[in-house]
Amino acid sequence: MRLLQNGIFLAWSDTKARYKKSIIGPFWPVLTNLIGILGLGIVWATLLKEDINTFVPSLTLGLVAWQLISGVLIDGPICFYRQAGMIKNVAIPAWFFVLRLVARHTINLLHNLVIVVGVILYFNLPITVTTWLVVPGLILVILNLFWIMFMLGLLGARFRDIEHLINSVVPLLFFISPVIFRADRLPVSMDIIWFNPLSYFIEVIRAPVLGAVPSLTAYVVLVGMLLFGSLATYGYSKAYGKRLAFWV
Amino acid sequence: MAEIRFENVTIRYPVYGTHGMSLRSHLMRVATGGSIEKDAGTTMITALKDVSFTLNDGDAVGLIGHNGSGKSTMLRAMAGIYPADSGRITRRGKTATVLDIGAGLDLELSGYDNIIHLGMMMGLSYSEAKALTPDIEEFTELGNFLQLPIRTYSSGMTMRLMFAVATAVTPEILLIDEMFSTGDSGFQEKSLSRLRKLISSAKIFVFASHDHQLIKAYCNRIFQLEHGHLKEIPYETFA
Repeated sequence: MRLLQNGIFLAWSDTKARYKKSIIGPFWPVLTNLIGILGLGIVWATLLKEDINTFVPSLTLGLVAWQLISGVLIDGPICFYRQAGMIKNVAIPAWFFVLRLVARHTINLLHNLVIVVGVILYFNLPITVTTWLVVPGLILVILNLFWIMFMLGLLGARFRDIEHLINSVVPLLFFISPVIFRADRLPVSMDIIWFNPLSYFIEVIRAPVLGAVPSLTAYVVLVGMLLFGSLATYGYSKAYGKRLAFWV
Repeated sequence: MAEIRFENVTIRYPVYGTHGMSLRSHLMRVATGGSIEKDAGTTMITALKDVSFTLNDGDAVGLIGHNGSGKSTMLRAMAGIYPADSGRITRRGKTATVLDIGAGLDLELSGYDNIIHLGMMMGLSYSEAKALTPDIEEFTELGNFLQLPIRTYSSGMTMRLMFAVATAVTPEILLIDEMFSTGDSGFQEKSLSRLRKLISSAKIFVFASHDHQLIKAYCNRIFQLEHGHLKEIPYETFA
């Protein structure tokens, strides 16, 4: 319990440390995203012949959610071996390092809430009961990301090519996940998109803010993944996790 | 009451070569039953062989042996970092380690921030970690350097900080790997007197060193490691 608090605290101080030497500090990533959204919004709305009033909010949420997901995926394989010094010298449970990183990425996400709020105000998106469904959605996504990072971390410590594999797969995932486009704009033949579990991650975060209730399937998939993934990760770390100190 | 007990402990660990860390060669090995990729570059090292002993309150152990005889592995196993392949390791008591110089320090952060971080990673709360600061300030004599990032420290200064943090909370079990080689004589003196205080508070202390005089002065049991085998040398005959 103590370690849980400490992990979150350290994630917070990691975040603060990163901003120490810049003047507008935490607003750099926010600014970067804002520029990205404006640029992409204008170009893609024209290209995809979308109405900018619905496209930009959708794109914003898609990108914000994607940053959380891709950040965890990319940091996953290195989450343990970057901490080799600590793992080899102090007996700390492995989940502590995962927690610290997931918390850091969640804090990044919270920064971006500024943009989301801005978009909601600017485009006059109604805030209803449905909107608050984003909270359980986000919690489900973060819990899932926790086991994903844990698993990737263990695999990445043992097999160093996992890191490169993930680095080359993530950009591809970006295009086959409904980040820029909306899944419901695709022809039926492209329903294959829903085989990509990350589509559901984005769905449960984006749909509520845009005023739609996410499909029940999305929740079923997320809860299912959470149960199955956590069990698999638990099993794997029980069987091999104690050898982590030899791997890093 | 602190206790460390090893019962027939054997520790083997893999040292991966360039290919051993590759997923492709691992899959090849699994798929072909190991017939193709014989030389995966992985060597198994048996660092401890069938080691048994019990340490109780008041035991101060000097760990001697050649380079590569398993001293560091032994300390890590005592700390609960390395698992035993066979046999059982039982450990009771709050443990602090000083193994690698600079391990766990964040080079970009200041000395002060690192004190808090290290403390919190050892399981202290923020305020408990913060409360250690004056003591560490005083002990390390680093003064204003504590406000600078660790990357500007010399190895001696890093050692001072590490040692001070590890010993600031009175641990029940203190494990130290050869470390007095760095640091000037003033600091050596100081850390030795601090050690003496810790040892006298009747907890377990294990110290790996090549300096037989130090060991003779501070320890009351001598363990010798040779190729992973442990032999206890009677204190009286040790010189």
